[in-house]
Formats: sequence, C-alpha cells, structure tokens
Amino acid sequence: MAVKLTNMQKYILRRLLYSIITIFVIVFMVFTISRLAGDPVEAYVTPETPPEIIEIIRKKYHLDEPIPVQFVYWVNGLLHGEWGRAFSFGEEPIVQLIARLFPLTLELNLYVMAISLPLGYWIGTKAAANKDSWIDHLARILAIMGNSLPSFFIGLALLAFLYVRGIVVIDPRFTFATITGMPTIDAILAGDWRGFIEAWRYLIGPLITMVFASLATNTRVLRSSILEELNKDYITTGKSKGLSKDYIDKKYARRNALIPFMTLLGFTIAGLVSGSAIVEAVFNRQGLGSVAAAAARATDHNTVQAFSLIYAVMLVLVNLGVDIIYGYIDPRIKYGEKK
Amino acid sequence: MSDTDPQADIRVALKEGEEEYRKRERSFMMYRIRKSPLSMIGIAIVMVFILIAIAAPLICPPNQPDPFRMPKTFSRLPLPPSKEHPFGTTGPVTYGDVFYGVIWGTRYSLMLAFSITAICFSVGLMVGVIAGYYGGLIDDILMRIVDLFYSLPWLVVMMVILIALGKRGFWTMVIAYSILAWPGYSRIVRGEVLRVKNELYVEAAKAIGLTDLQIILRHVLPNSIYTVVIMASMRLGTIVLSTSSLGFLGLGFNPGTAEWGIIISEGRNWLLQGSWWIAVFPGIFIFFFVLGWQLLGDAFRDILDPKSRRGV
Repeated sequence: MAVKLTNMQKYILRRLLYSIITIFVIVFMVFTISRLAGDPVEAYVTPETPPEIIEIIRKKYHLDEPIPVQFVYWVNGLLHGEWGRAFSFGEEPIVQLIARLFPLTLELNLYVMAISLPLGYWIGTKAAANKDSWIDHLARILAIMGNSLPSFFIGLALLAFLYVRGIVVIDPRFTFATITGMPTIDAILAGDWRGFIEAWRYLIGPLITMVFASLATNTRVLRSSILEELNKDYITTGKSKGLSKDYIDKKYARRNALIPFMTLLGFTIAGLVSGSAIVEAVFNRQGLGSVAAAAARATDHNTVQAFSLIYAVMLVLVNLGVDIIYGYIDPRIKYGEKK
Repeated sequence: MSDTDPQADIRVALKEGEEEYRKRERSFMMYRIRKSPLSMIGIAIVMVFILIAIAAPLICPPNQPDPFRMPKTFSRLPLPPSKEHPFGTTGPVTYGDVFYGVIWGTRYSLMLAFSITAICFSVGLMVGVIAGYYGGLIDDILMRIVDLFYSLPWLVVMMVILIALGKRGFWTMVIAYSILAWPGYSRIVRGEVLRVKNELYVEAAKAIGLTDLQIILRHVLPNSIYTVVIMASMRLGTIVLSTSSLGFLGLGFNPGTAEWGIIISEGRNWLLQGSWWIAVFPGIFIFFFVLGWQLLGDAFRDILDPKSRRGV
C-alpha cells in the first residue's frame, strides 16, 4: 500500500530532506569548531578556580562525556533555549540579544527587497526589451558601478554626505514603546511622528546603500536572462503569429525570465545576510550583522556560534522556500526533468 | 618505434586535430578582445595594477622588517596629503602612510587573490574532473557536498573559520576563503568535463585503449581547462572585493596592515571629522581594481558564451 506521490510532492520532499541535512551539517560544523577553539569549561571558570569545582562544572554541563554524547546534549540545550551569554555585550543572554537585534536587520532587509526587487525587475526588463537605448545604457552603467564599488565605500560616501547635513542619525533615541522591534513600524503604532522621522533617519542611509548594491546585480541578471529568452524560438513563433511586441515582451519573455529571477531572489536574500553586516557597520546600526562582526572581532565564541546558527538556519529555510516556488513556476521541475 | 606501434598514426592525428581546434579558439578569442574597447580598457587597468604590485618596492622603499605594515608618522591628528605624504596619513592609532598603504596594498591584494585562486583552482579542478568524468554515485556525492557549501551563509561561516583559526593575517584569510570558494570552481570544471567527455576525440582515445588517467591528462584536461582559467581570472576582482570587505569589518587582518579594506575602516572614524583622504584613496584603488577585472571578465564571458558568438 505504497502511497503514490506526485512529482511535485516528491520534489518538495527531496528538497526538505536536503535542507535538514544541510542544517545538521552546519550545526555539527559549528559544534566541532567551537570544540576545536578551546575547552568549553574555560567559559565558566577563572584561573583561580580549584580543580574540584572545575570537575563539578564538567559534570554539570556533561563535558566529561564522550564527544558524540556532548553533541547531543549541546543540541538539546539549543532546542531548549540554552544559548548562553554574550560575553562581549555585557553578558546579555544571547536569546534576548538576538530578539532585540533581529527586527532591526529584518526591517532593513524588508525595505531593501520591497524597493530593489520590483525596481530591478522593471529596469532589467525595460533595458532588455529596448536593447542599446538610454535605459539599457543606464542599467549597464549602474550594474558595473554597483558591482565594482564595495558597499562599504558607497555607504561611507553617503554617510559623509548625509551625516554632515543632519539627514542621517547614527545613534537615535527612541522614546516610543518597543512592540515589533522595528522602529519605523513601532513609531506608527505609537502614533509618534517625531519618532517616525527619527526612525527613518536611522534607516535611510543603510537602505539607499543596499538598494544601490543589490539593484546592480538584479538588473544585470534580469537583463541578460530576458535577452536570452528573446532569442528563443517561441518568440519567433509569437512574432510570426502577428502578436504585438509589447505582448511578447510581457506575456512571453518576462514570464520565462521569472525563473532566473527566483534564483536571484535566493541569492539576494543570502547576500542581504552578509551585505547588511557591512552596511550596518558603516552606519553604526545595531543589527545582527554588525553585532556578529563585533563579536568575531572580540573573539566571543559563544555569540558568533549562536549567530552563525541563526543565520544558517534562516538561509536554508529561505532556499527551501525558493526551491518550492521554483517547482511551481518551472513545469520542467514538476515533471521530473533534470535541469 | 612508430613502425611497431599500430596506434601511433591515430595518436598523431588525434593530437593534431585537437591542436588545430585549440589554435582556432585562441585566435578567435584574441580577435574578439581586440574588437572590444571595453575589454581593452579592462586589460589596461589590470596591467597598471600588476605593474604597481611588481614595482611596489621601487615606488615606496619597503618598511622593515615587514613590508606589508605601513611606516609610522606620529601626529595627534591624521595629516592631510602633502609632499612627504601624497595621500596623507591615518593618524592615531596606526599612524600609517596612506600612499604606502595603497601601493603595498595592491601587492597584498594581488597576492591574496592569486593564492586563493591557486588553491581553489587546484582543489576545484580535482573534484570537478573526478565528478564529471566518472559520473554516477561519485558525481552525486561530490556535487551534494558542493551544493552544501553553496548554501552556507558566506560571511558568517567565514567569521567562524577566522576566529577558529585564531591568528589574523594573510594565510588565515587565504585558508578561510579557500574553504568556502573551492566548490564554485569544481562546478565549472565539472560542467566543462561533461561537455568534453562526449567529444569524438575522447571516444577515439577510449577506443584505442588509453587508461582513464591518460585520457584525463591528455585529452579532457587540456580541452576543458581553458574556460576555467578564464573564469578563475574573472573572479580575481571579486575576491579582493570580499577580502577588503572583511578587512573593513575588522576581520582577517591586523590594524596597520597595508590592506585597502582595513585602511578604509580606520578612515570611517575620521571621515565625519573631515579627514576624507584615509577612506577615499584606498576606495578609488578598490574601485578601479574591481572594475578592471570586471570589464575583462565581461568581455571574456561574451566571447566564451556560445550564444553570443559569431554575431548572433
């Protein structure tokens, strides 16, 4: 009585399995590295601690067990919210620290995606449909500039320009209550307009920098993938059937270029994770990325470990989502054809 | 000897055919490069940087004992560009000379990029050839590993590796970067090997009974390596973009190192007080460096992409 699965279900199951394996490997890797980096008992003791007490601590945290058993205890601890404390951030519990920082990074990335994906899509398709027009040249210049200038350099230029003019703030004081943790939204919820403007002044610098950087990649990938679609046989068929250029661009080429666009979406999200670290560092924004970098600079193993796990799991989940959407828009995947 | 070896003629013919093919590819490529002004600009920029890197000891006498640390000029504030310090100084805490920093930084960046590329290239080549040539289960396993590396959050894993290795510096960065970047190369190599594997000359080589190793070394590698070498050179700019970003974040290099990213990160603090030169000069260097490789890469990509060839 084998359950009959559709191709789509098989595909999703397979992706799910890969994601679980990936997460497991990452967790294992982080564990191994943390054990290689030093005896974990050192986090709890000072050089003066008597050996008997060290032994008790070892017992208490199961550090006297074999490594595989330790691994199980460690994972179990993570699942129960025992993430330890951030030594480089005033011993704040890491779970609390992440809960505080995560919304700030999320806020920034949500705005970046909301602006740069549609805009990149629009410029990319326009540029491809009107090859060698002014918008095509603009898109190419934008792409080359955005890909050659490091984001921290664009960020610094903006910071220098906007900070002295009082447009950007780097250490805001918010008086409204924290509900979502995202200042622009919390300010609206509290009805605090002065705070709302302050929240935007805190956001605008990193936002422009990241939109610029990600727009470069977006337009470039879309432009080339649409150009590729426009050279395919079905377009010629469409033309010979007498369809208008507009109709072909919109209904034929753009739709098929959605597939590489989904890949791009995955890459964008992955890039945002690392990209926001740099931009946050430039503008002093206390998000996940800049704090993770600060923790790494301070060789705070505990915090770096926790952050890497969070990031990795987020990224794997995002990739899983992208893969599943892929399955829906690309019929070749549904019918089990190999790409 | 050749009279007694019945396969000798076939071997010679095979070899000549392949050489002919490679020669045609090369001359076609040179033709396309000369035709494209942007790729010529790219080549020019890259050449200038390579010259700077080679001539660094002539432009700025090396600082003893470690030439990759900027010489110090003590002052309370960063000194603006002047005759002695063409690009100014970084001021406290490292007191470095920015001009020295960017010149030796060029050498440092190129050395980083070449070392990383060399390691990733050799590892990626080995894995890619094995996966592509043998296929089947070996291919599946190797490619799953590659996929896994692809789905890792790059910067974060880099941070973990960097702090696990402990010491900051050149080789730490090379190792950490290579661990993450080799899978990209093996993907490209594998694709090329898959393409070459089905060519007639490989079939012929199999038919005359060469061993796998002989086929790989004499026929598969020489015909697939070409694209990969170019792909690798295209990534040199990106590598420097990433390493300088890590430098900027204060990961990987020690303060005072002649490395563009870390000089800029020092400049960040002074920028808001008007000392623009610390961040601006290394920034310009990074921009042109990456731009040069990018233009070169774009040109190569257009040339190599079979769809855009021969005026399609």
